[in-house]
Order: sequence, then C-alpha cells, then structure tokens
Amino acid sequence: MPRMAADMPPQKIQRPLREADVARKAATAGGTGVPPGLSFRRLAWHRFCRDRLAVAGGLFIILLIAAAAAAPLVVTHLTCHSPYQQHMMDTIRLDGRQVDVVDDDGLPVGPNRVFLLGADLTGRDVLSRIIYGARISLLVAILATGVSLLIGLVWGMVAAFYGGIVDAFLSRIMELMMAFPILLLAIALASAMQSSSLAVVILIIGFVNWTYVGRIVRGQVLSLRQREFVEAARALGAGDAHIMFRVILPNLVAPLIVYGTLAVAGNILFETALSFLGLGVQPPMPSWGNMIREGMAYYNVAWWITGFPGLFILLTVLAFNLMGDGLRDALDPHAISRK
Amino acid sequence: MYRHGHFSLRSLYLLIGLSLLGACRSDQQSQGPLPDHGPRRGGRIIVLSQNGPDYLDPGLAYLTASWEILAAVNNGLLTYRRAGGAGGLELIPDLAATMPEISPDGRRYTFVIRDDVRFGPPLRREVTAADLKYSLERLFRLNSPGVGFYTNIAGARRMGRGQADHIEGIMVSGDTLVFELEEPDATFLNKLAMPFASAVPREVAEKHSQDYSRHHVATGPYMIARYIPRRRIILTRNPHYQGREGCADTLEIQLGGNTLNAIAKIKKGRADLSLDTLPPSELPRLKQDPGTRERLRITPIGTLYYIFMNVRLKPFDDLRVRQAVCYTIDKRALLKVWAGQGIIANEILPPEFPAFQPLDLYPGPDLTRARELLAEAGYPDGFKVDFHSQNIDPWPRVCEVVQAQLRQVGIRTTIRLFDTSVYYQLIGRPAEQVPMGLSGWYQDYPDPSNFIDVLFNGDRITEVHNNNVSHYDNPEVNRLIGETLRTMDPDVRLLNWRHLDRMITADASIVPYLHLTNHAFVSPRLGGYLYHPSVGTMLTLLYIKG
Amino acid sequence: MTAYLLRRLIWVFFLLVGVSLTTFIIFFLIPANPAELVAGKNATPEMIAAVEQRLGLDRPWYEQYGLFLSRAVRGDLGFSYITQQRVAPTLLAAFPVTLSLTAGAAIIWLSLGIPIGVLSALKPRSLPDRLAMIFALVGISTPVFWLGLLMLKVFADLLGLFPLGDYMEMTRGGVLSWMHHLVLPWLTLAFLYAGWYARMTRANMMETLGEDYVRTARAKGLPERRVVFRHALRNSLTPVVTMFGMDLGYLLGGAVLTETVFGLPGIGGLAWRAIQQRDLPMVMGAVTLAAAFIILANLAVDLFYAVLDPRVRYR
Repeated sequence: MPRMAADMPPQKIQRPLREADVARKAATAGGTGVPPGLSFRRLAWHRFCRDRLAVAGGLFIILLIAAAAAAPLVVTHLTCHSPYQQHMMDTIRLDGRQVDVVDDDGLPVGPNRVFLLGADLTGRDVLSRIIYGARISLLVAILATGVSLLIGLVWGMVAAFYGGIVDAFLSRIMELMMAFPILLLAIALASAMQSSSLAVVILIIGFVNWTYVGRIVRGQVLSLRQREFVEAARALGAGDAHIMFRVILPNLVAPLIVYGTLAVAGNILFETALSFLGLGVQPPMPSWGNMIREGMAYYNVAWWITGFPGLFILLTVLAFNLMGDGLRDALDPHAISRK
Repeated sequence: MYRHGHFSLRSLYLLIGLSLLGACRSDQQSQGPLPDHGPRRGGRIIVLSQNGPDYLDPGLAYLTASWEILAAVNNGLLTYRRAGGAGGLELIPDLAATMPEISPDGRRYTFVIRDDVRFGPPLRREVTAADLKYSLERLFRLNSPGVGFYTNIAGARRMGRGQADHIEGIMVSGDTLVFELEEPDATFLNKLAMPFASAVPREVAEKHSQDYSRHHVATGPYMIARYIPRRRIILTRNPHYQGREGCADTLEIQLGGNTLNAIAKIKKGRADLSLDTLPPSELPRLKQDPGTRERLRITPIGTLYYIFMNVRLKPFDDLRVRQAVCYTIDKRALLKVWAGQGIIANEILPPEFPAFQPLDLYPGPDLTRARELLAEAGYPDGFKVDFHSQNIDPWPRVCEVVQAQLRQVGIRTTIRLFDTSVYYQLIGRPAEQVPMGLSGWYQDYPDPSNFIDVLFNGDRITEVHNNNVSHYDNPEVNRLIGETLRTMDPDVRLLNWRHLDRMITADASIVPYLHLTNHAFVSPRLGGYLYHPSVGTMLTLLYIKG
Repeated sequence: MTAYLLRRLIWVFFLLVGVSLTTFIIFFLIPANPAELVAGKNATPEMIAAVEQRLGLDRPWYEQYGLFLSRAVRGDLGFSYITQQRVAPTLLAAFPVTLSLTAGAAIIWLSLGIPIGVLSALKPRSLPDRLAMIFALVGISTPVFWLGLLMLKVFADLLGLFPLGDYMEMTRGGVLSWMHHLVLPWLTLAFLYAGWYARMTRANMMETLGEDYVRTARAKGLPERRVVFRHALRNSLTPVVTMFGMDLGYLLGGAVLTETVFGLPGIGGLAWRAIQQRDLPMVMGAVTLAAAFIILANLAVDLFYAVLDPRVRYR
C-alpha cells in the first residue's frame, strides 16, 4: 500500500522549489562546502552523494537492474539453471551420494553446491527464479508507477489549472477513488479481468494508485498557478497547454522524481502482495510474490523457498526507499539536513 | 499485595496456586502412546474441520465433511458395516429391521422398518416408514443435489417436474415400505445408504424449510446440540438413542482455522483429529519422527484424479492427440506433488474395488512416440491450449508440472485457476467449452457404476452440473453401460465393468494419474479411528484411550 | 458547525453509493452465474431459471442495484450465494476479529513509533537516531506477508511460544488466550506501521523545532520539556493524526494479507474469499463496509481539524 504521500509532511509539498532562492542561498552560505554560484542540479547531486546510505541504495538498484536486464547471461554463467526448468525426477550428486532434487514426499533440496539458494517445490532453481523475478517485479513496479504518474499528473494538473467546476468535479472523483480500499479494489479488478497478463497487472496497479499523485500534483499546481512567472507567460500570449506543460510542469519534476522513487518501492510491495494472493503475475513466470505464495505451505520444512524471495523484496524496497529519501533531501533546498 | 514491603500470606498462596496450575496444564507432547484397552465411554473429542459442512441438512449436504457429521446423527434404511477394507463394502440394515426383499425382476424392494427408533429431542415419537417416504420426496421439493440418485424410482421424475406432489413409486403400509423402480438397479441399496435418504421428521422440516440445518433432529447416537456457522458444532449424546454406538460423551467440531495449525494442535494433543486432507507439506516431518509416524492413519478411499480433454473440441477430437498426451505425462512426478499420498493410476477404477484391474495401455513417458502421434495428427509443432484447475493446494502445482511436461512435445498451455465453487460449475457446463484441465472424483458409493456411468456415459451429459467433463460419447460404451446397470448378476457386472474400464482408458479422453489414499493424523489419546470410503471418518466409533 | 457536518454527511452518503455502485458494476463484468451455485448440483435449467427469478438475477443491472440499495439502507445486505447465511450478521461476526487485530497493533505501533520519532528528533544524527531510523526503514520496506511467515516460523514453529495463527474469541478462551493468539499478528503489523510513524514524527518534530516560535519559546527561557511537549509535539502531531485516521480506516476494512497469513477470520478474509467465489452480496457488503470505515475515518479527521481550525469549516 503506497504510503509515500502520507510520509511527506504536507507543508513540504506546498512549497515550490525556486531555483533563484537556492542559488542565492548557496552563494551566501558557505556551509555546504560547495563553491558558490553552482547550478541547482550540481548542488543537488552533491547533496545526494554525501548521503552514504542513499548512495548504497542507488548502487544496489543499479546492480539489480543490471542483473535483471542481463538475466539470461547471469543464469547461464552464474547459476547454470533456467528459471523454468523443473527437475521433479532428477538427481544431483552431493557429498558423493545421488540425491533426489525433489524427494518422494515432495520435499526439495535446500541450498547446496548445485542449487545455490535451494530448489523450489517443482525442482526449479530458486536463485535463477529470483533473478528473473527481479525483472518482472521491477518492470511491473516501474511501469505501474509510470501509469500512476501519467494519470495523476494529467488529472491533478487539469483540475488545479482550470479550477472551478472542473476542479470540483475531478476532485470529487478522486475522493471517490480514495474511498475504496485499494487492495480490495485491485483484487476485485484482477478477478474481474479474464486475462492476467503483465499489461493488465501493470494497468491495475497503476490505476489503483494514481490518486496519490493526483493529490500532490493538484496541491502543487494550485499554489504555482498564481506565481508571477505563470502570469508573465500568459501575458506573453502562451496558451493553456503551453503554460501547463512548459511552465508549470518543470517545477513539478523534483517532487515527482522523489515521489516516483518511493512509489516504485511501494508498488514492488503491492505487486508482490497481489502475486502472493494469486492475482498478479501468474506462475510459471516468476515473481517474488508468487514464489512466496507457492512455497507458503512448506514454509516450515523448506524455508528457503519463501525466505530468499522475501529477503530480496525487503532489500530492493529498502534500496528504493533509501534512494528516495536521499533524493528528497537533496532536491529540497529548504530541508533541514537529516542524515 | 505488598504490605510495607512484606509478602503477605495471600500472595504466597496465589503464587503457589498459579504454579500448580501451570503444572496441571502440561501439554501431552511429552507423553508416549496411551495404552489402548478398547472402546471406552466418556470424554470430549475435538475434531477440526477447516471449511466445515456445507449444510447440516441431509437433504442438501454434498461435502465429505457434511456427510461425516451427519453420519453421526442421522440414520437411513441401510448403512455400511463398520469395518475397513472389503468388509466395509457390505451394507447392513440401519432403520430397516432386516435387509430388504427384492423381487426377481429387481424392480421391487420391500423393507420392514424397526419400531424401536425414536427421533431425538425436541420430538419423542418413533420413526415411521412414512418419514422415510417424506424424506426422499423432500429431496425433489428442495432441488437437492442428490435428486439424480433417486430418479429411477417410479413417479420420481414426475414429482421432479412438478407434475405430482408425491412419489407414487414409494408405498407405505404400516411398518412396511415398498419401492417400485422403473429399471433394475444393482446399486439402489447403496443409494439408500447415502445421507440423502436419512429420516427427516416432516413437522420440523416443513416448519423450518429454509434452514433445517439450525433445527436438526437426530436419530443417531449423537445430536447437534449447538451449531455456530464457521465456528463450532457441538454433538452430544442423543438421549433417545438406544443402540450401542457412540463412545465419547461430546464431539466438538471446530471450524475455520488453517490446516497447519490443525497439525500442531493434534501433535500437542489439544485436538484429536482433522477432517481435512493432510497438507502434503506436513507429511515429511510426520513420517520422519517416530513419535508421530505411528499416529498416521492411511486408508485407501476409492478416488480417481485425472486430466481431462474435451473430445468435442479440436485438437482433442483426434484420438492420436489424446494418446500423445497420455504418452507425455510422467505420473511419478505428479505423485510427488501429492507427497506420495496414493498410487499412480493407469486405469479408472481404484484398487479398492473388486472390479479393479491394473492397466498399462500407455507405458511411458515416451516422448518419441508422443511426437510421432502429434505429427501424424497434423500437429508436428504442437499447439496452444488453456489448462484449467481448482485453486487449492496442490492442484496449481500439478498444473505447473503437467505444463512443463507437455511443453516437451510442443503443447503450450496457459494455466487458468478458479476457486473451487466456481470451478466445478465451469467445467460442468458444456457451453463453456473448457478444453483441458484437472478433475477428481470421490466415490459416492462403492460401485464401479459410480465412476464409469457418472463420468463416461455419453447419454448422461447434461447442460449444467455435467460430470462427464471430457464429453466422452461412445455409443458402444453407452450401450454396454446401460446394459450393465440393468443387470443384477454380480459376475456379469464385474466382467463388464472391467471391459468398459479398458475401453474407456484406451480411448484416452482422460489421463488418469492418481488414486488417492487418505492420510490422517490423530492425537495420542484417540482410538477407534476408521475411515470408510463412502462415509468418511466414522465419528461414532472414536473413543479416548487410557 | 452543524451545517458543515450536515454537508459532509450528505457527501459521505453519496460516496458510499458511488463505491457500492462501482463495485456492483465491476462484478457484472465477471461471467459466472451464481444461480447455478445456489440451485445446486443436478439442477435442471428450469430449476436454475427459477432460482434466478427468486434472486432477481434476471432483471437488468440497474434494477438489481436499486434493489440492493433499498435493502441496504434498511440494514439488509442480502444472503450470501455460497453459505446462504445473511451477509450483515456474518460481517458483524467477523468484525471483532479485525477490530482486535487493528486496535492491538495500533496501540503497539503508536507507543513505539511516536516516542522513537520524538527522541530521534531531539538528538538528530546521533547513534540512537541512526539506528532507530534504520529500524524504521526496514519496517516500512518489509512485505507484511513474508514477515508474518517469518514470525510464524521462528516464534510459533521453532520456538513453540505462540500458536500457529487462528483466532480465539475472548468469550471462549479468556482474555489471555485471546491475546496469546494475537501477539504475532500484532507485532507483524506494528513493526510495519511503527516505522512510518517514527519517520513522520521525527520529520515533523525536526521541522517544528526549527520554527521561529520554538526558538522564541526557548529564548524566553521556557524549560525544554515544555517547549518540546507543549508546543513542538502538538503541532507536529497533526499530520500524524491524519495518517492515523487513514490507517485506521483502511485496516478496519480488513487487513487481507495479515489475516490470510495468520488465518484470522476477519473482514479482510471474508472479502477476499467472497471476491474469489464471486459471492456478490458478500462482496458488496464487505467492500462497502470497508469503504465506509475509510470514509468515516477521513470524516473524523476532518472534523478534528474543523474543531481545531475554524477556517476549515468555511471552505
């Protein structure tokens, strides 16, 4: 359940970022250790780099994305197993004995030389499935975030920009959506759809979460709308679309980047939750969530089937949260340094 | 309570009392097996059931858990001998005084009812032949799922269509009850032993027609003292019962909860047994530990688990394609998914039946042969198909294993899972055109007709609630089935069923893969556990050892 | 004030109608015929048609919805297709479970999260602060269903300290047994939420402590405790109250994941099973109930602000 919006103190969202202010502060204060007169972006980058945990998070994500993107190579050379290859009737050589990958009671082998993180209930390699699962979970989470951002951005922008009846109408619909328990709504939609392809899952997750973006965007745009530079643009004869997307939008980039990063974290949790319930990504396609679901009944005798995927969810979400925190601190010049 | 820093005597007593309390409540985990001196009266037995019964109304109930509970509180004309194995297949009189007289043409059954059985509280009167007639007619008024078993009684179909308000083929005269059948049926007595035919008192059933479950009247050793849906059912002794069954004073059936917890409770002795199937994940540990191994009860139960292929749809209308599938499936892997709870099935009838014969018409897996057949049939590169199944463990895993196996010959499946209640509805409707999937069948009564006629008779394909999910329709098979159903000679029937089993298995509209055995885990103190294939767990025989 | 309240209540009613209508429509997209389920096996097409007529399933969807609405306002939520029991009492019976879970977890996470947040804010960048924030971060990053399984494995299975899930009513096993069964679910939920509350409290506190009026108070020589508790804390807690309202509203509608892992028969589990079984009356009841909690919680929070800040009422 995405919580990023609630995590940001409301006042933060209302205050727009003003590059002029930042540059001025940087020029006069010496505390940041950066030579005055530097651009906002470089400044933000420096601030980000000083946050070691955030950088660690970022590195982890880069590594994970790289591994996920190169998944076929990784599984060929590192694990030597395909994530889809079952080994129900095969044996492996361990400590000089031939051992069933899956024994007669259906119990798979644990972590060993051949299956680095153990085998799952149909004899598939857990590590390979985790790497492919990273692909799926990351893809779904990132694209779903994109969908939410798109819908929420347009919705919030239009509502706040035009105000009046339009705003009232659009905001009411937003309120209606927010009244739904989102997990139940996602479950209901997923059950209602005949197909459970990745596209459907991405759309459902994106659709269920857009109101948070909408609220943030609307708040920001409402306060930006009265700014001088907007008035100036209008005076110069700019049309609505131009003002919305060329003038106002750039000011939304920073909070949306921060939101987006934290939203990916939340959507990874959301997708794995849906897959855990059996509605998201369907087996045999591996998702960290459905791996936990498949192994749940055996959690007490074959802990590795649920333990490792869950651990990866934890680390990945943690990394995105750390990065998101770091970005927020770096991009908001009025933030009190927290780390 | 401290008084000026001293311990008061009261708090000391309290401390001692509390520690004693802790000592008395020791778990029975450390105890070894209790000595078994045979059935003893008394005590409270705790039974777990995750989903519980669908109804406690014998006219409507059609789940194993429901039948198990109802068997402890209801009686019909006949019941099964309380024995395991072949002995348990024998029918014995229950409310009937003796086994019935059957006319030579096999269409007339004459029963004499016992006059010493009374309904339990709140009624006091005796059970009469009229009650039994009413109970059967009630099935038709309720649109009961059991209606199909009794349509062979003369006049029953007319009542079902609403053209009569009673069944003229059931005749009551004092203590005598006569059934007139339209066609001879060697399994008619088995059908009378089902809970559907239990005695239900008219005055109560008519007054509470919508929820008889809440106002159930018993005739058996126990009665339903309390029923809280999804929570608990309490069975206590029926004061009007005069037989000798029923050892425990109370049977407490706890509903809800999860199966893993059930095993933990039984291990510690806080519950005595569970009515649900044992989760496969528990078996390894239970088998390895000598303390628990000897509390596993394994009973064959006459089931068939299979993969069906809809012969009305391409490409399964071609025998060669179906045979290719038979040659591809490695059933040993599927047995592993079920944690070894059964034996591999290569035929329809389960080994518990006298008519059982082990077949091996498609020895395999033989992928080469499978690919040859597919190529011959015009699918050298395989094809795509949707594969359907229920969503309860371990069915989805069976699907995944089958999927991987079929992929080897180019058959690319998409797995589609459904909740149980929705699933059987779905595959039971020919209009849905479900091409392929998993199904299973538990015997309703121990006769091959319950498998072969119900599942493979082309004449019995219905628009809804169809059980012949592969839509198999072979006129010669249909004819032979019909003939066999009308025969009373047991030897002829045996031969025919065997012949039919072979024919149908060869025609490969299904791939049988498992005959499940029942695995149950009981607490250290539970004795008398018996699982009957048609009745389920016989609750009335349970007692507390020691 | 009453005018404001009235306006809000009317809007609440519309929201509930909106939610139930949308849910209804979603379910009409699902092609399953509940009449067959109710009619039972061996039912002929005529019997099924009869059941359809009895349940009103042969009428157009807006008529069916209208029927549902007219009954719902009188408290009659219909009968479940699967169990044939009345929906409203079933939901009512499941509610204490969800309430127990939510209330207990809430007490724990509030008592943990807020003090940790406050203390961290008072000593920023110290070791305890860093540790606390890492703990909080891990808390918000953990998948709740995995954590639940982990708790079960370690504390219930390996150590045997707690039961493996299930719910024990207070009336049956006594208060101690009830608590004993709920400790692991409480800790699982609380671990997650405490993280959010610690972070939010800390962020707000640090912000507030840097404000001018706090500096003024300090400059005036007020004791630190008063500064922190009277002024800074009160102001930083308002967003936390908002968040708490939302969380409470959401959880009271049923924590599906936690209830599934621990086998608790609460509203979340009911809703989830109902959706899977296409049990429309139960789905309508559960989803509308869950939405009602969310809406009412938001209303309560808004009213709280309206009481505190009169400007809100005239918006």
